[in-house]
Amino acid sequence: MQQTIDELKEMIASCIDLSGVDLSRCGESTPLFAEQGLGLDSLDAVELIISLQKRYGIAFENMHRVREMFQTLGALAQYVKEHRTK
Amino acid sequence: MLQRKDIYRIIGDLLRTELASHQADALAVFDDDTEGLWENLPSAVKKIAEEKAATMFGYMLRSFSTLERMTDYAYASFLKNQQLVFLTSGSMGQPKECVHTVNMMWEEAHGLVRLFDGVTRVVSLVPSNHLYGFTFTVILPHALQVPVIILPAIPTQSWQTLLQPGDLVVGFPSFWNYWLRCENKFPADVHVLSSTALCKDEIIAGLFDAGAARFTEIYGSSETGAIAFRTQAGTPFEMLPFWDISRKEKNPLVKRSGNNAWQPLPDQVVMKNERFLYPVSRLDECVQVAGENVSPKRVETVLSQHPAVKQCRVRLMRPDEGERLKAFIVLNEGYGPEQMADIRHFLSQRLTVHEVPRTLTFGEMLPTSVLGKDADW
Repeated sequence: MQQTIDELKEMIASCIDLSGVDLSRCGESTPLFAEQGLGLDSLDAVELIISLQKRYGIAFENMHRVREMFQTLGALAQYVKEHRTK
Repeated sequence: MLQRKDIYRIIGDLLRTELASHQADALAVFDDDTEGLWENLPSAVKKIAEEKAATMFGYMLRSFSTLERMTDYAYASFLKNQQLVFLTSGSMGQPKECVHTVNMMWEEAHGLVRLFDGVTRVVSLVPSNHLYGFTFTVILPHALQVPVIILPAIPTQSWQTLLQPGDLVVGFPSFWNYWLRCENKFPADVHVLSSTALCKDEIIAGLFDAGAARFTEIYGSSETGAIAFRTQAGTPFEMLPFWDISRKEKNPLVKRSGNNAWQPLPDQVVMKNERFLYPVSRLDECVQVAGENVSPKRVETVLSQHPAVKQCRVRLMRPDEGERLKAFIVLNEGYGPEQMADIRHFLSQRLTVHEVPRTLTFGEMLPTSVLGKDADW
């Protein structure tokens, strides 16, 4: 799980400017879309979805699952582990 | 013309837009559970949404306990007033109110229908509370007498199964760019529509390479509605039949046929004979971020209000950087890079998500060219 979380942090930082965020303090419970977390916004969400598809082969069909798995880095890492095809 | 379910959809999209725009719920724009959004609406966002709905549907501002009551009231107001009021983005200051009467809606619908011969469904990827989405995903389907399919603007969906021959897919340039980056392909006989900003020639070419059977791009504004269209990259836009144009002034003026009110085009244009135009540049200094007009100057003004900011410049990212705004900041003495998080928070409280610069760069002095003009960084 930690390895996937580290991969995700690296992936997100490569496509979205996370300067001002101390990534070393971000872990399983870090929210993606809260200012106290990674501080992503709705426009970043699309970049994130595209990056997840390209890196892990994950396509999103169910928007309710999107909300659940985008809650925290840990939730997203768990989803990636279960559904990655690459 | 409009049915109650259309009003419900418009209000739902208004809620989603406000939730995402004010960063109260970044994923609201992808959420189709309108009742759920209503029930969990933060009070500050509810207040703004109610104000905008009152303006749009033309009733005295009031609060509603349920979404159903709000929809009933808004629909009754629409039937009484026979018009809707759309707000501009407000990127240059106060949003302007743009009245579109039912007669104008029908005129546009009849003028546009001929462009979409053979369309059997309209697939909407845009919000219906903005004029573009309203015209092409609410009014046009009524005029064509075809159903509307509403999908979230997520480019990674199974498009081969979601789309079918005869679909008109209503999107915008940023979305089509994302769509192509995901290497999607269209099924046979799909018509692609784009508006809100000029679609780059390479995107149009990419859409045809991806199998789009037809492409239409609409040129217009919240103030005017749809003015002109084109169907190929690199070609001028042809004015829609219900517009007259006057070329007496330096920048042409347009008015709807049968209406006395001349109004300016949103852009400086080059005319190619009487009914064809090329937009060259915006008359205001706004740029487009994900389909929304934003003013870098306004963002600079807000950013300058932060106590740590001595000077700043805001501009659109280069294409290789992305499609958001970026800011260069010279800090006041005594402040350092640790201000980054505080400045981001400051901006998020005062700007919409489209206006917030995604990248902040600190430097000793503003970047300038050898001639002393503002330069990119």
